[in-house]
Amino acid sequence: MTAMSGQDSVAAPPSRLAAALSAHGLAVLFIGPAILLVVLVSIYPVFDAMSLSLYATKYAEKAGFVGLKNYIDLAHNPVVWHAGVNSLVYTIGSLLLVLPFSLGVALLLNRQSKMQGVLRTVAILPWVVSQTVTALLWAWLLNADFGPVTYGIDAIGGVRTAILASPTWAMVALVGINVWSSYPQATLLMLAALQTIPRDLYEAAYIDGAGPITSFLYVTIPLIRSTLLVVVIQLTLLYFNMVTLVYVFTGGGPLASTETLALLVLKISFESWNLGQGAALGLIVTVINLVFSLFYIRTLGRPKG
Amino acid sequence: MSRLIISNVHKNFGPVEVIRGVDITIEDGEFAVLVGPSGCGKSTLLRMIAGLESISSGDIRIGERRVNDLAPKDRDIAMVFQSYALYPHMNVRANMAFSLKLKGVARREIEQRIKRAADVLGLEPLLARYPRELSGGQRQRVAMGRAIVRDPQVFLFDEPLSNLDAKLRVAMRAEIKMLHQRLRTTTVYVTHDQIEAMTMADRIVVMRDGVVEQMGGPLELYDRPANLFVASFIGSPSMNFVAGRVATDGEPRFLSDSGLSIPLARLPAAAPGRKLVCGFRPEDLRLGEGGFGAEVMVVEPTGPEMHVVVRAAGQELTCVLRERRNIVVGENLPLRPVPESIHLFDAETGGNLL
Repeated sequence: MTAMSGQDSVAAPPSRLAAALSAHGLAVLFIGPAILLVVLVSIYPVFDAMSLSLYATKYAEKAGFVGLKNYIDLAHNPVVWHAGVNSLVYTIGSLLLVLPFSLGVALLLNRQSKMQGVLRTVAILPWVVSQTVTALLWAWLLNADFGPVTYGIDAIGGVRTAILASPTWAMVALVGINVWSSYPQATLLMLAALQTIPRDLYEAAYIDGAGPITSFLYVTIPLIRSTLLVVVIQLTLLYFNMVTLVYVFTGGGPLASTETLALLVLKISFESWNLGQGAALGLIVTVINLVFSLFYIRTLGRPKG
Repeated sequence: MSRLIISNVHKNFGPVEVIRGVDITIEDGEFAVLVGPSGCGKSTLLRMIAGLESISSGDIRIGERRVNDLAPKDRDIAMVFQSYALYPHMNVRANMAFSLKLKGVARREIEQRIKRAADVLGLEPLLARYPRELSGGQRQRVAMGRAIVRDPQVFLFDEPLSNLDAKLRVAMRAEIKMLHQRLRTTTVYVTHDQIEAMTMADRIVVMRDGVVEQMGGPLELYDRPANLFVASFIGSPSMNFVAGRVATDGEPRFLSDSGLSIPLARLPAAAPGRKLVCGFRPEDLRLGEGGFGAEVMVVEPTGPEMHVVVRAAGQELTCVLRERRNIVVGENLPLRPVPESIHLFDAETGGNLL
């Protein structure tokens, strides 16, 4: 009897271990490919860039270890600082416009309306258009010689404009089309969040004496707060890393007035063929992205309720 | 004075009329329950009192004021929602303070009122918690607390117990009733559950298809239902109905189409010749000779009594027996409805003739 039960207790753990292992094995099998993919396309390149940024390069070849020289050169280059300022103007300017705009559209779409299906489709359209096409489309619309918008302004105001030739207006236009092309994704997320708010809460607030603005501030905003956080992080990263739209629309001009850090990474790496310095700047941009995200999570993501 | 007067109120949603001329007066301090099957308009009527739905025609008065055109916050009412509708991002204290804050009540006064309401409902230890940290019953109490702090003239409850499990529902039922006895605030309570209506109400308003079928105290409705609908809606298990006519010769008797003969205490003048429905409550169908024999189909002992489903002349009837005897399925029981407790309804109009 005793011997039997002793044997049992010895025999039991391995079988449990085997079960745990096989359960584990299945999990590894499922998430393995995803982890492999992330390692290959995200993590490995970062470490590769870290190493590359410490070398002088000749085209795609490493030409000797230079330590932090690439970083020091970047820090002493006024073009980089100028691009940094442009990136901030572009990112913050776009965010300041896109958040109220996309929330406004989401609030409108959230109202009961017979036209809702049509309105939603129209509101989402800019998202369907690729960034390249958006940039080309608006470059054509604003073209100083034959752009319809230029023509319209001339016809109405009698002023011949060259928006893309003015450093200030080029940035304004860039921010504008950026907002136009990116608001739908923010709107969609906000709309989804708005639709999760039960109508009862608004009725309770109404009975409690809240008008539309009070309801918005005390019910809507707090309840879509976590979605707002996601939207802000997503858009900040999108804007800060934006290359396509800027590259095709203005190419960074006129007079480098729309040249952002992300665009500069591309230019240093593949126009000046200084891959080492490009990698260094790329890493700096990555770190700035991280700092942005952490800042948002700290300030907006404070759990409340 | 916080009497609630609803006079000739109508409500249309587009071409559909959902409230069709309702007149109800609820006295100061009264606990009135609006009850009826879903779609009868009871919730719509409550929302009209609250100001969440407009009034197509007619008047609603609270106290001395006509409130038709007043915003909910100016009607001096407080509402408890079925879902509780607690603000999830505010703790219990903030939930209760919200309406007072919007009203501009001084902070000290708010604190006092919250304290008083929390005392009444035992919410003191929960004040710092968020709704998601509360159980269903606690949320329900917070929702009531949020109503109490406003010290309104009228409380409105919209099916407040339907999200709770059966046991908790019974406990909260008693709690709401005790709260009302303590505060004596005029209350309108909507439910589809007739037991809730019976147990809680000073007065029950039975509604169907946008009209009031009958108004009265719980026992009044139970003992003297105005029509077939009220008779069938109030009471569980529900009343037995048998279609037929009265016999025109000899002793007053009801003869069902299926062939049952049921002795009556008296004959209403309007009864002879008409198509009628005879109704009697399950507890009024007793063991005894002089009625009819019935075969036992199902026996459901509940403890204090036994619910027995029988078949007599092809028709299923329910009786509630107090006798502690063994009843077996298939057995033949002699049954007889208590003549004094029988109702006769006009088969066409549904009106109670007795």
